[in-house]
Amino acid sequence: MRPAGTRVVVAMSGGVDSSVAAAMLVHEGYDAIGVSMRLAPEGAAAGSSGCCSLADFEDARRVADRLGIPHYVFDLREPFKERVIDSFVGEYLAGRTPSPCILCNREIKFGALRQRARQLGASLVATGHYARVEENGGRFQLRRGRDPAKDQSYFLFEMGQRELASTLFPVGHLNKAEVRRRAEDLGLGVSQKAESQEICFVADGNYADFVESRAGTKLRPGAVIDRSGQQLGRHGGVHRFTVGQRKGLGVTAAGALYVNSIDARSGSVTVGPRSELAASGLEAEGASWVSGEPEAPGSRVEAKIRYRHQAVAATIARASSGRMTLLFDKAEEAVSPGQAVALYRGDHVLGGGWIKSACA
Amino acid sequence: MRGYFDHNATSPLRPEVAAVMGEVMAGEAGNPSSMHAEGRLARRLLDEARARVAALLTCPPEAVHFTSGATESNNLAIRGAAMARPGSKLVCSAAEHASVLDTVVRLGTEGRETLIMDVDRAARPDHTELARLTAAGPCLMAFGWANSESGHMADIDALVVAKSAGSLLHLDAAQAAGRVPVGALAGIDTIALSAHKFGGPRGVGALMAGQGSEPAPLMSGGPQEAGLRPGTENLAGIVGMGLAAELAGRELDAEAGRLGRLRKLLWRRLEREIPGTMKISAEDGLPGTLTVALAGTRAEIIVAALDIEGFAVSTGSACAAASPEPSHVMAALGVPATHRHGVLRMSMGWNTTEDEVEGLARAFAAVAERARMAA
Repeated sequence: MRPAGTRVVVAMSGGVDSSVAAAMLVHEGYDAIGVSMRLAPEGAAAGSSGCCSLADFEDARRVADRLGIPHYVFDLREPFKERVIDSFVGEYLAGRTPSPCILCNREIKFGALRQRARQLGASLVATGHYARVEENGGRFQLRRGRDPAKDQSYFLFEMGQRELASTLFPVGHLNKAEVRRRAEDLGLGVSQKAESQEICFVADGNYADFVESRAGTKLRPGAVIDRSGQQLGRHGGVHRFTVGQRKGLGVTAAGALYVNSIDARSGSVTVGPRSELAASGLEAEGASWVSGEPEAPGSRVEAKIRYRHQAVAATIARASSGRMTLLFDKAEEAVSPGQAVALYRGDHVLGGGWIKSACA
Repeated sequence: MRGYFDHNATSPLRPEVAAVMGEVMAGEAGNPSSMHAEGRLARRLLDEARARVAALLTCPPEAVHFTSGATESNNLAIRGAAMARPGSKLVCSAAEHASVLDTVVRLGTEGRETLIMDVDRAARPDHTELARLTAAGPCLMAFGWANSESGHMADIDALVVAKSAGSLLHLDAAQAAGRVPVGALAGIDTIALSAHKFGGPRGVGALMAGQGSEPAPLMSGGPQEAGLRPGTENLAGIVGMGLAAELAGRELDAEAGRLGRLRKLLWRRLEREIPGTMKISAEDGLPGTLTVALAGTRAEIIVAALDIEGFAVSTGSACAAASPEPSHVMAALGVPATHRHGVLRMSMGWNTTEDEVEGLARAFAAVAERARMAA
């Protein structure tokens, strides 16, 4: 048990999850300090959106005040732009489908914010994520949040022992309904707030427009082709496509067509029937392991290849020096380069990596 | 115990002022515009307060017009003068408070000719250039008497000399009034001040406007304050401002000396214990303001850490709060890029004690060291 009065910085977005997380820490006797992060660039989509608006900061401040803890707004726009937004834009321009929330967790919440927490004398950072950290004989385990509909462990697969040792997820063992009820019981005034959207800095959800507004001269228009190389149409940029995408291809065909692969260098977007989407496995890079040790080849795992994906059975074929080859038991559709693959065993997160390519 | 070092944001209310305001609010004074005894009582209190503020500014009582604070006074002085003098060009410096700067910028977008001058290391405009400017045509000049972020003081004589016949000189004395001598010297047309910077209540201020320099009113609706500021007077606040002005004026020199010594003490401690700390504020600036810059440290971290330790200080730049780019004013003041995110302002006032200064210095050294280690 951590001693009462241990200082913890709790990231408060003004939403219900982090508000209840803060309340629970206060209740448990932690010396909690509420911090809201200013992330969205000036004039960008946020402000009116579900995150980072002035109204959200006000909500966070009111909740902190109600809990009797200090609350500060820290300006993290610079690291957020450099390490999250620029990468988001760059990935789309490179023909991949980025996963900025994972980067934000690594670089901002458990990066820049953690550093600021230490500067404030806080050894711990807490967030309202739906995931669980458990300690077992000095080893830390990362588990899915108890609420299967809210589980956010996918976004946290990069956390290792050192990170987990200094992280708290107070609401991870609650389901969303309980969190809302607690917020209501505590009179926090945020119990009925809407869920924040998945990518906070693109308020209207139009990623293509966002990328175009920041791409300068780097847009890669090109041809829409089929597997044989025959041109079916033209497109305005590879950033408009994601592997598995069906709508907005700008070509007409007898049957439904899906994006099968994207080659940013030539600007070609290859489309085909659904049958061509199937992949037997994937190659990942930047692999990391919660335990610190890679899983042995031949290990059976469940793989989740995007946030809204039901993890599927797979075998690790190879895992060394940050690279990993994974074979699915049954072929999977829409394995999108740039997205992350998180590996589980039951509700334990083993680790994961970044999808480099699908295996045919 | 908390130590409050943010008098440039607001000074705590003096207890004597709180007491007299309570009496006025609970008392029988009515509306100063009424004919009856209650009205006459209110009128008398208003007159007394006006005389007290006039004494602080060494101006005739009829030149004092009560407002809701220096922000309103600056708006009234600048916009009102612009309305009264359609042909004049508006001139201020880039280091002004937002209530001056934004008013000038907005008038620019409304079609007025404006000029925002750069400042030197002492936060002052180039007076020679200013003189050239006003000689070329009538100007409405608006400058701060003391800079709220750094405490640098204007060269009032030089501003007066730079003013041409036909031009107006407005001074924003929000940070200076009640702390250093702020007089209605010849050549100064209007002066803005706020009660809450010298121990008076928030929500009250004044605009000193000499005869012939009055701006056009921004509101219509009554003859109050010589027609410059219609609306029933905030009597309790005005009485509070009057008393605060008298108390501040009575001890002006002694307080300036005392705060100057406290500032010296604080700086000596910080300089010794925090390597690489720069002093931004000047020796001859506002006596109670010490602005420093730390290398490689975010000011907001220090503000939060000191708050947790029980000390209220402020980040040095209001501009930095609205934008990740550090204030260009800080650049003009000579703060190097390495220090620009680490500007902190500690401002002292009537109730600051030496013990608090010693306490702040100790806490500051500790949190700065911790922040440096964890950076």
